[in-house]
Amino acid sequence: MEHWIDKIDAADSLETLESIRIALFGKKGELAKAFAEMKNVPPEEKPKVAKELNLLKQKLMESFEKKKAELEKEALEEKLRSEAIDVSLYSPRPQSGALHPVMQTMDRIIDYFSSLNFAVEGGPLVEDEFHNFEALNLPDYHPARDMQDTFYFKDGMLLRTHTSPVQIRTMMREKPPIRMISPGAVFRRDFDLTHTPQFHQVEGLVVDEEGKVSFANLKWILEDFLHTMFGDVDVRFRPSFFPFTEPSAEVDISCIFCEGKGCRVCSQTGWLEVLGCGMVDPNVFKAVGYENVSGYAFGLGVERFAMLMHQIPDLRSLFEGDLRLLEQFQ
Amino acid sequence: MIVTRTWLEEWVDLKGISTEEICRKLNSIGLEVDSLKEYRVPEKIVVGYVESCEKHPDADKLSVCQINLGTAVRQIVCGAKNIAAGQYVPVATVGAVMPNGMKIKHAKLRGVESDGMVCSSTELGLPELGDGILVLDETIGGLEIGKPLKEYPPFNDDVIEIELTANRGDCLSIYGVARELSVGFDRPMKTLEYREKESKSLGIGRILQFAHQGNPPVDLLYRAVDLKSIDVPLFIRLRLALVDIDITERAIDAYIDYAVHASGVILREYGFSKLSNGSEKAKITLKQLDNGLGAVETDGKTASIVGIYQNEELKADENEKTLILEASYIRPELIAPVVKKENLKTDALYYRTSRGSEPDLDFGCRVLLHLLCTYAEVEVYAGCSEYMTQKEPLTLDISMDEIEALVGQAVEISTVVNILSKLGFYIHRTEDGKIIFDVPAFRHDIVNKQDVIEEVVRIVGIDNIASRPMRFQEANRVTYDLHRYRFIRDIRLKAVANGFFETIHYVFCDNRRVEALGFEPLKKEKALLNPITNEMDGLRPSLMVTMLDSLQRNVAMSKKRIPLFEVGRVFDAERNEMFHLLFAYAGEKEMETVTNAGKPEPIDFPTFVDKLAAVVGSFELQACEADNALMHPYQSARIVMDGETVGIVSKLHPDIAAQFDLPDTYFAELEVPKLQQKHINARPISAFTPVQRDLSIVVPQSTTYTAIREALEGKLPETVQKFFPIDRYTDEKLGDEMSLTLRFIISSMEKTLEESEINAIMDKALKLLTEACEARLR
Repeated sequence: MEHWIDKIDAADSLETLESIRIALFGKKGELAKAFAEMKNVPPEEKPKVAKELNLLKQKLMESFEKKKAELEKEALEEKLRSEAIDVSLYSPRPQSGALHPVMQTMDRIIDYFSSLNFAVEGGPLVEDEFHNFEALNLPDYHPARDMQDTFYFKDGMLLRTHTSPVQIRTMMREKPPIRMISPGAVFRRDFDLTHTPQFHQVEGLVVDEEGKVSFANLKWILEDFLHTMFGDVDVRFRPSFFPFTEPSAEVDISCIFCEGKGCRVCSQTGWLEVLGCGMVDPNVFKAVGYENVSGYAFGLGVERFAMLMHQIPDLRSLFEGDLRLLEQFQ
Repeated sequence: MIVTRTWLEEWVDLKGISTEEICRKLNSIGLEVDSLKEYRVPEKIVVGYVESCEKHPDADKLSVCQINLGTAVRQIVCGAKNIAAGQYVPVATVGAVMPNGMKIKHAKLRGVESDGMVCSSTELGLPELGDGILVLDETIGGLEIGKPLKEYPPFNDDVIEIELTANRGDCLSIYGVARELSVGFDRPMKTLEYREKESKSLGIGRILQFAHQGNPPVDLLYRAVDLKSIDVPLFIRLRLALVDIDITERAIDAYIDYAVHASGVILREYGFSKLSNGSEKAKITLKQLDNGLGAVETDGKTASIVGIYQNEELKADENEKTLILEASYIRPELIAPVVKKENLKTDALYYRTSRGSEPDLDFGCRVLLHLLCTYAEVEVYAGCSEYMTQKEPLTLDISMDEIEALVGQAVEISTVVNILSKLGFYIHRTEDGKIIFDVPAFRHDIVNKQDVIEEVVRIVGIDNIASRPMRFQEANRVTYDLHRYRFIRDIRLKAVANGFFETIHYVFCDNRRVEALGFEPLKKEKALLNPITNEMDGLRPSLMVTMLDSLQRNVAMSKKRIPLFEVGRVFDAERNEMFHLLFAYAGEKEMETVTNAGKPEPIDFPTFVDKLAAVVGSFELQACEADNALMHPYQSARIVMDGETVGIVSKLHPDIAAQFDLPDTYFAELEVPKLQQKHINARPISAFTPVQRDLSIVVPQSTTYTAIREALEGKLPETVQKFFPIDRYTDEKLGDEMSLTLRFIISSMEKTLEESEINAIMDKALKLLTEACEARLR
């Protein structure tokens, strides 16, 4: 009966194996027949023959199970293989949209300051001369008003030229201490390669008792902020002039494109101007009725930050809704 | 303000300091350097003397010159019309490399040998100084034949352009900038050696009668000169060109421009005969005007209004022999409001007077007379006529504690005293850590302590202040605006996750488009006064009005799927600001992929609405009429949340789509304030499996789902968790009717519902629908 082992080994499908099982292990199978023959074996040989027969049965069973497992595995593999797909065909094209780089930059700026417990304040785009100019130490004959090319309405109202009027509104509504930023759209009557009539600013204001807020504090927060936004850059403060702050400074970072060596973006200076800041002018506090206080203020253009951080070459492209630009921010 | 290094060096010692260092210092003390230009004349360009100059035998426009170069006389062919024998000229000798890269070689011009080139100012790399070759004169520092031009300082200067802030009128002069540098570098100022011979024994009183009426708040000082001969020498022309001042035909103008630029004093001149009206004396009267300003009058005519303008007709004519020179001053804060209020005409000097000109009038006159005596032939009348207003200097005091509080660190009192006195402040005394001082008259910008601290800060250098974090008292600063910002940011992020791209647009738009789209533009009295272009003369009433341009642009750029959104402000006719959220979707429903065989379906109403709901949460749609020309009259709906209309969703009207070359486009515009986050209380959930049942009914085709919803809502047992439509079907057999299938989710808190109970609910639903909507079971 040893030849059955060869038959089992030669089986190439589960069906063949099943027919072997029936022929060999079935009720009328070869093994059953062999065991039936036992009755003709002389009694003294019975134990020996029975033992041999049992050993043979065990050997056959083992071969059978082994083969069966083998064939089952093959069958499963076959089934799986038939389910194969070209996964590479389905490398995703992102179905998501994207935030606008300017708004995303604004989000990052707001995140930084709100994490430091600055309040976020908003205000109207249509402003009056008091909040936009006069309260900010810019009387109507002030030469610095030349710096601000303003959109006026026929009734004397105007589109805010900076988000500073929000600071005035907040100070007039609340008592110090104040710690706030005002993000939003602002408008200047200027339209060329490097100016759009509308852009976005974030301005900050901190007011506390007299003597509590110093220029050193202003320096600390702006240095920390610029390092958060631009990484390991040098920060330089240059004295400057704004009607609403005194002392005033403009803040430069070392050029992130040439690392300060001088390139086209930084006009060979090695520095990029990114912020204006200063200690709040006493006339501004006077305009809102604050006494015995000290404070600092700063302001930045969000488009400029976004263009520097993402190397966007054309300011005007930010307002065109062109998907070829926007898709890059997915 | 443009300055040059050699000009600055006339006033302040800058030896051993490089121009780069000067620029760095100017930046650090608050005078922002806009640009630096270094002029250098190349090697091998020397002073030559034209010994003879003859016509080229074969060329009309060329001259053949014999030019003495010191070492030799060379023959040079020159094409300039203005060359003549007896001139000193710059000659580029053979081997010189010009600033534009051209190399000077021995040449033959129409058969005549030429050993070099006679240069124009631009060929030397200098600003243009008239046509033709540059004719040199003694004023450049002597004329020495053969001497290289690079050894003459006026030709080798560094020009620094400073972007002055509006408060620093005191730096609108070479002298003012030099004063800043003297403080910045701690170097002394030089005093000018004036060459001013009062060459006439005749006093000014002999020819000028100056009277005043009232007490106008101005200063005036008059001098007089007789002109023998006047030309503008190269030195003055060159300097004015370097600082970008145009040279006019009148020679005296160049002298005055030079003196004004150098000293910062406002200087003007009048022709004697224009003021004398034929008599022996010029007569002028200073009068106080009603608006507080001072007017100089002569013979009933206005000669000038101090600080504002001069009557051009009273300037000296070409043949005038006697000039009346006027220096004037008025405080800027007195003129600016009047000029603005009365819209007065001003001349070029107003830029200076409105920012604060130099009040030391005698200084300005002396600079001008020094120039005239040096470079022109004049005789100066003795003495002067003047009208001076007594000004009390502003006295301030400041303590070191005050400085420390504002700056955030201590500064030595001796440092502060040194800085202030160098800046021209008069120090009265120091006591108990306090300095008492007068503010100089030329510093109009300094009126309080904070201004003085700014002076200290900028000279000490902000970079020398150590940064220090501030200590704060805790406070809740979570404002309404922060909440709103975060809420909108969540919506923006969901919009992005659902495939929309954020855009920003100008709030400006074309009023004609606003009207054509059926919106009301800003009321006339509230309209923009000074729009930047005609196409931007209005403010958008809807975000979709400006979004159309972005959709169109993307179609033009072959984009087939254009899902955009924007959060921004819009304005009604009364110019009230409203905060809107817009979604706009044009073109294909999804991206071209293998699954859709590269042919995605166009976006449709239900797909767009699904995307919208994924962003803003669930809502109901109620059919509505088109409010404007953007909306499709039969595919538009109000978006209703909790019974309140929060916006609209619509297909873009095909006419507008065609006008902007757009494929099928859908948009939804929502009012942000109405979208505020809802507070949700959880309902208990049942332990028993919910049951799902469908109910198919037949109703007239005109029946809206809104009617069906209203027929059922609130009238079914509480066990009905929700119901929603899942199928709508029409065919010929149904005629004017349609089949509608609703799915009901039914669940009880207490038990598994019996079949009979469920059937009762479905019967009730059918009954309600039959009563309200003529429904019957299909």
